[in-house]
Amino acid sequence: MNALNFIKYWIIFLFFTDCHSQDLMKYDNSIVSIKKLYKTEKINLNNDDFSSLNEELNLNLMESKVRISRIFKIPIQSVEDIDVHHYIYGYKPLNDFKVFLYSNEYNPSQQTTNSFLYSSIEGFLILMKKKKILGYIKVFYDEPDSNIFLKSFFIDNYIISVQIIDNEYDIQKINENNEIVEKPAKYSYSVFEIQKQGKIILLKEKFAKKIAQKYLVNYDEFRDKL
Amino acid sequence: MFFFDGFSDGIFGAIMGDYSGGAIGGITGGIKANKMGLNFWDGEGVIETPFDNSLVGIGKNLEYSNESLDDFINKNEELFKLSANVDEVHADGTGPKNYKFKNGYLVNSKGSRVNGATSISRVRGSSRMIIRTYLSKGVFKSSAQLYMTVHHEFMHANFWSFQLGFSSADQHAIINNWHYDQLKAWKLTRRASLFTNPYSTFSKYFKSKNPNHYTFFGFKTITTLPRY
Repeated sequence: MNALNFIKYWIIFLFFTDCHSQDLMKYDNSIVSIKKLYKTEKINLNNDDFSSLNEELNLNLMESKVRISRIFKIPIQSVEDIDVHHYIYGYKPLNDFKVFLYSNEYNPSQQTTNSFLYSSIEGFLILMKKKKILGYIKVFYDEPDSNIFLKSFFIDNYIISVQIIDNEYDIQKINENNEIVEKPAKYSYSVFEIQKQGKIILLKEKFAKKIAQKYLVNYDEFRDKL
Repeated sequence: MFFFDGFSDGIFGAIMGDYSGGAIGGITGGIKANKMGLNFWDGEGVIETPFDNSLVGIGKNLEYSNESLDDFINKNEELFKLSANVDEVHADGTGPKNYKFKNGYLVNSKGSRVNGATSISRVRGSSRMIIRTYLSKGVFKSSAQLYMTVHHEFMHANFWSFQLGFSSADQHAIINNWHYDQLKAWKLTRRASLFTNPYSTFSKYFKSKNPNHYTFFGFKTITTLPRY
């Protein structure tokens, strides 16, 4: 093989490997965080007030939520003139624990109607035993007109968090055949397991990949990325 | 094997590994890494970080309707000029294919909210494109926010219309440079800090220096707040 041929094949190889790697979800354990609370906070959450959680934790699409007071152990981002409201979107019992989906929702306007329009929204899964918060995991983040989006899936005792970086977040191209043409976004993920005794562990890539493949295959969005 | 000790009635361990990993975090008990620009996991309570990209409170709250949007575009010269390359504008709860309209916002196919969206449809057997812009109700809370969003989407429309060959990422880099300068022109420097603060997603665009400046394509900033 002469040098020219070698370069030609190398370019073709790079092209295909680059396309391939961009299409697949990448394991990245830095996209999420666990927080254990050494000084816990006691709160009263009555199960009867909240609905059961679905698998997909996308606060933008969930219908049912109940406004509650702030849970002080969960941090908020503070900006002048912006109110932060807090909601519970539902809960899931897990062994001796309960896991609640809690949110910080940033409302910059002095609202005059009953419908609030929030800008940034953060979601946290809170692990509780009786009235005590043991810790939390950030599972959702969305800010309008940002190319970064975090959502999660809570299936059995696993939490699969997916970060999407999408530069076409507000653009849609449709071809002559009326089909949507999307440039692939960059997907990365990590997986947590909540164990029976209330330990939460962040799984290493090998194990996380098996869990993601097993559970996300049911979702069209991920089927060709696993 | 090592797990955190802590609670008598439950243990919350930040353990990394497939049942045999080591402990991370030690004192803080957390894994401190986050690419979302929100690195507050080692503390509790409030972090003073510029956070919100909203311009609510600046300018007037406008009615969410097609008529109100048309009127707003007609009253603002720059928007009116750019609208020449847009076939349709919508403020009526509709959005591009596969988008949803939830809680006052357009939600794209991946489930993320957007202030506005632009769709570009190629017409069969022709080089012609139909460009439609859609607005979320949320941006009508402020005439300044509405101006920013409409201008943002109209810049996309003009890039596509002239077929300049920019990727979406490049377009956003150029557009966000315009956002930054527009905020400065309105003397909204506190909001402009979003573009230089490392925690802001906007700063990521701003820092990716693009040799193409928005002025090359005829886009301008205005010094007075938009008319309504």
